[in-house]
Amino acid sequence: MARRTAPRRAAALAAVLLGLLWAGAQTPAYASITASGSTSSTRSVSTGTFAVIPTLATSGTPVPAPAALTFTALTPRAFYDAVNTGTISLVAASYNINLTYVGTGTPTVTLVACPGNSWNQTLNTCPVGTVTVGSWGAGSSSDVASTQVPVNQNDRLHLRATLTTTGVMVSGAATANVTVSSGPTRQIRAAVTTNA
Amino acid sequence: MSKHAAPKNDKRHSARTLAAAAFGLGALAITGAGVYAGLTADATNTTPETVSTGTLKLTMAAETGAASLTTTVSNMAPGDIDNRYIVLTNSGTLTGKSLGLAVTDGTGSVLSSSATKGLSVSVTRCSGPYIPATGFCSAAVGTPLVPGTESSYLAKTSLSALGSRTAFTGPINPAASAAYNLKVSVHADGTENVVNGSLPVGTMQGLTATLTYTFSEDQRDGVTTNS
Repeated sequence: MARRTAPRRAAALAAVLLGLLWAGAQTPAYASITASGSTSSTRSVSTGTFAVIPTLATSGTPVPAPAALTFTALTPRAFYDAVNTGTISLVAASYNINLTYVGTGTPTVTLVACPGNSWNQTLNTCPVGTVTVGSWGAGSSSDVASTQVPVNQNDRLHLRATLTTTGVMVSGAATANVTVSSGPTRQIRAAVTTNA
Repeated sequence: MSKHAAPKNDKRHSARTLAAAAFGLGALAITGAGVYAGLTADATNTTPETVSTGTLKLTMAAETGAASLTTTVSNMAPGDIDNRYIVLTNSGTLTGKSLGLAVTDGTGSVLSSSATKGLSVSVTRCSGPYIPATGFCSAAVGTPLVPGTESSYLAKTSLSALGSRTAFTGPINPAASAAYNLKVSVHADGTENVVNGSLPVGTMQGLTATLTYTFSEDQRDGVTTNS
């Protein structure tokens, strides 16, 4: 059977090959080419950062973290700084303080800024004038937006948190947070359009 | 045995014959056209017809008084826009079609991969030259106080959608030697909250994109002329 079919296959193959050759010989050898023109240029575009870190350290660049404040009956105050560690200047920030309290009465922690100056922690005074940022009760953690903010990179805003109560305070602890947003409640500098 | 073998041999022979015939006919069909003889007559144009091809080129240059499109932009914040002014010219002899722009990021980051935050690009044309220092679109050269007309060629589009050419609105089919005064704008977008200095995951802050702008066009459609 194999011997019988081999010549037929050869015949069929030859016919097909010849058909292809014939078709190729009859087809004009043209190709369709379209051209395109282009020109390129490359540039570097970088974004900045916006960040404020609360810290008990009075110098250096702090690591990103909340600040832990402690209060006692004898020293119901805690001082800390808000440091601008970003490259974009700011116009506002949101502060909040989560308070834990031991004692009687209704406690309130009040945050006050000493803009442009440092607190005299011994005398509990600010050389020029203070601005109240906000107040929080125990269990409250809502954000309070304030224009008190370290404006430029490496600026420090000096803050004082004071715990008061209508009763007798044994101790208090608080976590101080600060948030900067580029969202609808824009807290970074105004948008800039540059032409050059 | 020989009586039974004969038909088989005949079949084999006929198949071989068929194959040989097919091959022979095919060869004749291909070569046959060239082996007959006869009279021929020719007519030739005495003056050769000159046929030349056109060129398709795009060139880009900074608008007069403008910084180059290669100038670095740094410290962009959400909402910022950086405008650069160029003149794009179809410097070839052929009309182009579907002028468009692709922008690719050689660095690769959220700036070019996110559709919601990062960088976007828009392109606007002025009927006359732009005044780069102010971004003013003037009507014509030498009339810096007469406003021209601006047309949006490419609406603000995220880089994530500009990896391949996006044809300008129109379409724009540049005539030979046509020049386009264009404002190429980079927009920084994004809404982020930074708590206690910790940048959010997938932040668009503190990143760099290396953008390559490629303007391109296709040649006009082929034309059949009769004359």
